Amino acid sequence: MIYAYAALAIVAAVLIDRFPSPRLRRIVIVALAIPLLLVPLIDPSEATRNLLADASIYVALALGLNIVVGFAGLLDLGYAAFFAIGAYAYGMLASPQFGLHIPFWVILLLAGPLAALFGMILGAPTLRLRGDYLAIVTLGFGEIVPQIFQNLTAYTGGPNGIPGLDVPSFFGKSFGASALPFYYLALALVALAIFIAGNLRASRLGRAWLAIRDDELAAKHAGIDTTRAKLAAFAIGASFSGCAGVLFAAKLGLVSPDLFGFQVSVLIVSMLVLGGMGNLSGVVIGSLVLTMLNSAILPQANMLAATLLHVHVDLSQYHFAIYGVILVAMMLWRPSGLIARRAR
Amino acid sequence: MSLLDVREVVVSFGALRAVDHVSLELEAAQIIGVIGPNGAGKSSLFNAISGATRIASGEIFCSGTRIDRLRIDEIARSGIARTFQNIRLFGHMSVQANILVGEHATLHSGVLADMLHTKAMQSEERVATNRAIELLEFVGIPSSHAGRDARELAYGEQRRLEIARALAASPKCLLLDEPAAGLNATEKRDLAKLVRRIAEMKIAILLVEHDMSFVMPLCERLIVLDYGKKIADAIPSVVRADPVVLAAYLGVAP
Repeated sequence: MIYAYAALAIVAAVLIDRFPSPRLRRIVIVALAIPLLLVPLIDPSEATRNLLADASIYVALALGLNIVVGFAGLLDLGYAAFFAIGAYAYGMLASPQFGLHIPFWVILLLAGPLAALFGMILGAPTLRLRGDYLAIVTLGFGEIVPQIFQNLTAYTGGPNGIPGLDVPSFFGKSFGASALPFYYLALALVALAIFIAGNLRASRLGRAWLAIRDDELAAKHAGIDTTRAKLAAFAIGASFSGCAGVLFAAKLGLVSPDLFGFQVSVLIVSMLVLGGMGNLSGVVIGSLVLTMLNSAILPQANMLAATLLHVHVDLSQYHFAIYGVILVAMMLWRPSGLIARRAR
Repeated sequence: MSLLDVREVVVSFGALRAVDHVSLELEAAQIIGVIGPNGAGKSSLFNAISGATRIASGEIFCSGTRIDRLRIDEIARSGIARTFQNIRLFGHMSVQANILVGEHATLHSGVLADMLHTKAMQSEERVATNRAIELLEFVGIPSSHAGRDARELAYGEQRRLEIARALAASPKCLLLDEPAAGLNATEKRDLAKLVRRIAEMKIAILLVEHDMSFVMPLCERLIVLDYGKKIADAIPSVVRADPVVLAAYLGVAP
């Protein structure tokens, strides 16, 4: 069932990109969104729901990072920091930690602006940097944020994190232990991210980003205030990550610093590279493929290996090696991603 | 005061004075050429006016406003557009999008309107797109190319697209850095016609060029630079006969 879902989503993403007419595209998107809503009802196992919710959170993350890396061309290797900030915002404001129990929905709404603010704080000192130098600084920021959460033990529970986060409720009805509401919320976040990113791409600001990515000096000479445009990219990209962080923390019921390390940032960048930077359907595909690889394909492969070959391996332990192979293969054969960006 | 007023501008790179106390004035609809041997400081002068290089001393005014302390994008918005010696298009963007980027400063939609594609934003985009197509046709690129990647255009078309992008900002003053470089005789003739038509739109044009047969009939006045200094400023026929200029080009003692 999971594979059917993944296959469907991938076919959908490819198809959407092939349709030139906007109206036809809209019809196809609606037609394909309905099964997405129904999949967890058809396959009601909690494992599937959990996997779908995680996958959707990652798609939202990848779409957010795509604004920074794919559109504006700013290689951000510390994107997980904003994910952490969103998650810890929920962790600290909706848990017994401080006895604050601010409603989930309030924090979800505030997480976007909060992460956007931190996006600009990170962005401001990096405005003059490009390429490698920018990557190093953002990588540092991505390391510092979880370190801060780890060391501010009095506020954040230190390395153990904060357990027992509030279970959200919807008009008095608790989400309970099910991942299903989180799946729908994450799906809504993905839909919002696609809507906003797609609109931005065909707008004044989006064109300014693409221009900066192609030739920053020429963009300045065209009258673009590159400082403002870059800060907007960092802020908007980070805000999706912040919202995704709140969903992630609330779903898991706990936050801890090791959930938001460098490997998360790398994973999201890998999703972009795999799918095709700057291309929305490419990004969706890339993130689905890698999440499925992690959570479904590798465990299944383990079982196959055990039953057919009587070999007991845990392929999940090698997932970084597998990403590495995928990235190298992409660079060699499809350097612009599974779905290459087309001119607009 | 002239539309573009450059006063005693100095550009230094360490001990080297790339531009040494150069002054010039440019009026609307005027075409002035800047010529000189390689390394004479022509491009440095252009970079100084457009803000890419900070000037060490001197002043630059555009329609009365002092611009030499402004950022590049602010100078661009104050009405100075430029092209580049080695073409700098946004290669991975469509031809039409390149011109729309040029229109950036003339559009007003904000971040929220861009995210939501509000009615006002959409109607502004429609007007902007129509103007982009008009500009494309004005510079002589078929509008059927509008959706192609800019890097796919032929060389001569890329040069013209750069001019269209510069015009999209509705500039008061256009700086053309070697616009005829690499063009064949026919393309050069078409380019000269295009430059004249731009001047007719009351835009002031300053152009750097090596090709004398291109510059001589086109420019109202020629400014000759040598070792960063202005050594002549006159109508083309006078400049052509100026012994100082000949010496600078041919290396003969005056």
